[in-house]
Amino acid sequence: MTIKVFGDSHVGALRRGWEHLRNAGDVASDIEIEFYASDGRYWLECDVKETETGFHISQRRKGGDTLEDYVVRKNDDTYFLSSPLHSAPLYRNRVWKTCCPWACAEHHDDLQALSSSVIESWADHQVRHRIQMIDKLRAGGISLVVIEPPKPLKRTPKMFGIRPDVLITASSIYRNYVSGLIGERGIPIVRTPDETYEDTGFTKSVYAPKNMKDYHHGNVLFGALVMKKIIHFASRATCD
Amino acid sequence: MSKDVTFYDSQPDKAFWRRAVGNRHCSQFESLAREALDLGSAKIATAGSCFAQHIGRALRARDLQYMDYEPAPAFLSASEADRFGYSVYSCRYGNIYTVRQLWQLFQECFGSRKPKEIVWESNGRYFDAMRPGIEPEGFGSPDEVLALRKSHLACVRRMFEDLGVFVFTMGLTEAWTHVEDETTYPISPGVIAGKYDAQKYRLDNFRYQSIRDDFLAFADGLRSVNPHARILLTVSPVPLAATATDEHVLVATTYSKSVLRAVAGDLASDIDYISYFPSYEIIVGHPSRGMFYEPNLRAVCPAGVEQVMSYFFADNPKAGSTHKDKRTVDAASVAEDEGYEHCEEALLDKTET
Repeated sequence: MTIKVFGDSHVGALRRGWEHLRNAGDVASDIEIEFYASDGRYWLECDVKETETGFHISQRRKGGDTLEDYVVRKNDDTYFLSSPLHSAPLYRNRVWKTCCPWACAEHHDDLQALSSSVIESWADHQVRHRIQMIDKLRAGGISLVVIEPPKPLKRTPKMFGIRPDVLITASSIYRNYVSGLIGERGIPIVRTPDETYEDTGFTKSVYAPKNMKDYHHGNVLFGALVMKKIIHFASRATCD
Repeated sequence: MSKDVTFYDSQPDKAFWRRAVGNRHCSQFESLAREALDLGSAKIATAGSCFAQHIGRALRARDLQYMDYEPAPAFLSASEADRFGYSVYSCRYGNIYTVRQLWQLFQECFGSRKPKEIVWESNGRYFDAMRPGIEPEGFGSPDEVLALRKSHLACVRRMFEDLGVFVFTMGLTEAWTHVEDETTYPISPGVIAGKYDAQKYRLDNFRYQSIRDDFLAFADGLRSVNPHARILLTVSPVPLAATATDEHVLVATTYSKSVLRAVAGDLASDIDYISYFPSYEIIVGHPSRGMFYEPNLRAVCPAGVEQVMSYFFADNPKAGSTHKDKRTVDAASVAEDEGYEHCEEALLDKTET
């Protein structure tokens, strides 16, 4: 069984988690996993071209450089994509210094309430190329699964001067909305493991990276938990 | 033999039709407004019927202190912000067609009025009945409507307290009113959302005295929270999309606009902090021969808007020149390209063929 994990920088923690599991002898030896990660900005305007053998996904950064295309092959492999549910670009936005999602407006009279539709409109614009990519891969018969990144870190609100419940609510609205877009296409989602976050919605400190400047990635323990879910999902899919 | 001296001998050129109008092109009038408000240093807010959107855009594009007290979140594109009713006016209240609506909004802002029916439903989505056009697909729940309204009212309250000049465009005399608590809506229930019920709502066609009383009550209220506030009135030249009266729509339009024009003029004559700017006359007056209307004879074409604003700023030399703010330019180009403005009332003729 070969599992392909590709997408944004959150793939880094998954790779380290996988190495951790493999070194600990915690996974079956016949599993092969290939990782491909690039900066999340390369996925914002991704484009897909179909060939006889697969799909070439362009890796261009607006106003920046171009990476070699990522190639999704037409075979029986399952591709796990990390990127569409990455909510950090929204929840760290400076808009939240003066505004808040309506659902938490009751506690923030000094902030201007925003409707869910307004936030979803931003989300639509943000993920439109990735949703188009998903549609093309799905239409081409590719087995695709989307991976949810870690919930926001507890340190993040302070780093960006945003109130914790405002940040968490914004993140949730984004993830719920984009999950809906993915779900209505019949694409499964590997959810953030329940044990990695608190009731407040923030990632538990034990799953946060040591680098205190990092505001959104998970650490190796987080990666290992997600990889277990991915392997479980892939095994089940193979059995089915 | 000396000529008789008459009162008119001392009247300026603008008082004589031949000199002021008959011998001039409609773009060459002078001294149209009786007095020019000093807009140079004032914080300016706009509200009113859909034509007021053009005034707001033009003010925003100048180096003036145009107020946007409920701004779009910066992550929205200009076109999306416009779609959600941001930056159309100084706050996100949508079109305020009647003076009654304005007065009730003011009262609600300052806690002396609470409408009985705020939420309208349509196809499982929810709308703010007082501004049903601001969220094109509606809100997800009644709670969301109420949370956004509370936040909106706080923005409007601050706007009323801070403004220097309030530019208000009177639009309609006809409106639908809730019979129990007298709340007046900008659009008939059932057009965007809600359900028309003859037992629950009634048509009001406001007359001169009630419009004047409402405006004076509003103006008194405004001055009580903002003693230095000044008001600039205009009347929308956009005809009614439909009338709910028995009259022909042309007759109903003439009635509405005549009453509004009379109220605006008298208020400006009677109250020292109220002025009138004749955008209505510039567009509707027969010297323009109807050329400032689109072929449907209702929408004002971009040249008409430009004409109005050129007079507006000619009388306000301190208004400064236009500047190129990206969002402003984008929003202006959207409106100009499509001849588009937000107008809930225009939805009334959606069943016409």
